[in-house]
Amino acid sequence: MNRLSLAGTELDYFHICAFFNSRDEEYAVLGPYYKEGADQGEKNLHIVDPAMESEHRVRLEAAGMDTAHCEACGQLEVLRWEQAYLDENGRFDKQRMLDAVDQLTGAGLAAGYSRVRIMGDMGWVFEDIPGAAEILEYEAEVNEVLSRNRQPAVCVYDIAKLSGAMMMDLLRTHPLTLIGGVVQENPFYTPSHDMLKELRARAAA
Amino acid sequence: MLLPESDKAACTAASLEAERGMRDLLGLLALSALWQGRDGATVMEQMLSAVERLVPIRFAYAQARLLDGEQPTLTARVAGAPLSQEACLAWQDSTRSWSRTVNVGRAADLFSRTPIGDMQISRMEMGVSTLQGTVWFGSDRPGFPTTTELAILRAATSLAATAIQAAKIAHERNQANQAKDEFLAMLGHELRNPLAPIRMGASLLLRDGVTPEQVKKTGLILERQVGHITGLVDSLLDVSRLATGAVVLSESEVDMKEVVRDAFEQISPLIHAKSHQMALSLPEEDAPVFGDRNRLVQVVANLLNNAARYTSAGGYIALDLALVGQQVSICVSDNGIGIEAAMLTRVFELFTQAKRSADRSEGGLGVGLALARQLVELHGGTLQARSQGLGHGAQFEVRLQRRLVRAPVAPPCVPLHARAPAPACQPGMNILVVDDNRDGADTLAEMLQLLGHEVRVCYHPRDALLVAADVPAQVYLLDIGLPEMDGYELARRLKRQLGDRRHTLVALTGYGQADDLRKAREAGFDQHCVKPISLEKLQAILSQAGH
Repeated sequence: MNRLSLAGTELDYFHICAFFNSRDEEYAVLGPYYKEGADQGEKNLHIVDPAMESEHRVRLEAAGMDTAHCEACGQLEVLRWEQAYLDENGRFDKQRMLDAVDQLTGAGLAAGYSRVRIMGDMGWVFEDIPGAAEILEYEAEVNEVLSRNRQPAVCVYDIAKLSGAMMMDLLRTHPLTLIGGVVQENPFYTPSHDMLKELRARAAA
Repeated sequence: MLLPESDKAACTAASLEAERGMRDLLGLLALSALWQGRDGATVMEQMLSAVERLVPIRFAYAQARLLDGEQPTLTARVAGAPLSQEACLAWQDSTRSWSRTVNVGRAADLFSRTPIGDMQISRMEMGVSTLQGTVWFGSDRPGFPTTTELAILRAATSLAATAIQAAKIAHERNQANQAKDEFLAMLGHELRNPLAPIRMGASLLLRDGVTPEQVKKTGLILERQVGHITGLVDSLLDVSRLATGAVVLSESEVDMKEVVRDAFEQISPLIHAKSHQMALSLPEEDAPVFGDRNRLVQVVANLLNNAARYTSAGGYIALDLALVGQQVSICVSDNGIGIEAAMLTRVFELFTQAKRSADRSEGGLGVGLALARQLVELHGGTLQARSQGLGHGAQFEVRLQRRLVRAPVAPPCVPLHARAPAPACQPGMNILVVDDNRDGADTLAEMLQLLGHEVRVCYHPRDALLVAADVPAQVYLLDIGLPEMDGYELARRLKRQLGDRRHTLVALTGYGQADDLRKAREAGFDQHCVKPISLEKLQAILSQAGH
């Protein structure tokens, strides 16, 4: 299996919660991770804020990726939020997204890629999106999908938008964190079934 | 010994809770990394909100001083939602009855009254005392908080206290940087103002056909503007000297009535230029203090200058000198733009004064009040500002102890070796000027030649040693920052070379700190002069050298 490293840390697969203070910091840390995948003939699948779509490509170029070539051969796929997280009505459908991730990281790999590196910009969670409240359940459940298919996914959050409670919940749903450019195992991670139980109890209260 | 099944179950539950508590504590630790660069209010809000996910609380209420000098900030969350400031105020009264709530050693549940009903309340201090702030967490559950919950609440509060402290330091650093940037911009502006007429005057003098009247008029302009720049530089050097404690007072008995008159005379051109009315009130009797006359004049002049600048044209300025018990009071009042309450405490800080006047139409470096206060404090006195707010004028009062006679202290030796006062300068002296700044050396030489002296110029210290060996001079005017060897070394070598031959060594330098004077003295200089040197001073030095 090819090398899989993020911020200098080598791993087999992961579901990582990456917190950043700025776009510059984000791309300084993730740029090499994307390029490593491209250099090894893997697929990069990025789900971005539609307002950032072209800037995202510019920043990938700056990180050393030939985006035109990678997109032409399918090695790079840049999707907007409404092409992945949101359905045709602009709603977040947890199950639909879980199925999509399962397809992309499981059966979809038959397209010839040894690995698909998923990055999701989670900025939409803080917008007025129907169904966004299901995000924590999604983050908890997607662990099982990624573990089963042994594929990496990075959820990118802007620290400035997070409340303390949201930070706590996100930390509990990701087995790994990336804070200040450092990857760490998250001792606060709560197994999916426990987390889902708590979330449902919270919703019922 | 085997445990009964019920005890086994209890042990397992306790172990699970301990494990979960440990896990939650570790989760909390991640928060501090996410707080980097956040302000104190955000840290507090996030901490209270994070705790809700770990401990079943009904409310959290915090009262913390997020920035020095500001009132404590109230932050509260009730049932998972933030409270408005108005609602926080409604809770503030309740906290008084909670103040003695303790967490440890409580024999039984103790509920306290809150706006949302009776609660078990846990109180946490931020930092090591109540000075930084207090956080109260409340729950309606009997037995709150458990030991694990208490540990989490304590850890969360401590983390937030540290992060708030870091945010406070970052805020102060940013403010200082901003003040420095504003000051540099202001300094650039202030230096450009006199440079414009100097440049224009120089161009005028270079033109063909310039008349003697024009030369004289331009010369006066140049002299005035150089005086202005020198004043700015002197203020900056004073700031530096005071900051490093390098100011030495030349103390003697001083009558503050004379100080006030001198200061008024200094500032009167500005007062007249702005058509201010000035009322001077002096007591019949003397107002003696023990201090440095020049520095005290500087203090009063700064206060008058400040009043004149921050008062619109045609304003009213009063200076009252009075004897109050064992003190002398000097009070400068104006009916100018005034000072807002928040600014009153900061008006004496360096570089912050500029904020008083948005357009800075009156110019100045904004260091005058800071200098004045530091000088007054150096005299053991106080300087205070009062104002009823913007548009209501301002009042600055100096209080100094009335004369307490002490043994007079000798003035600092700028002439490095005391000599009797000299009569007028005699022409025809042999002078060697050494300066690697050719323009500086040449203009000085020309001026000395105009005064009737024989002048030679060297731009390099090596040349100076050769020239002096060939035909020794009577007076050596040496720059200090020279290539290859500095002016101190050149002075030492010249002294060795000249032996018993009569000579005067004068250091002409941009360095005017006490340490520079000491180095000059040790190197054998007879005089130490800070550039730019005035014609009068130069003539006085040459007069001394000629006798």
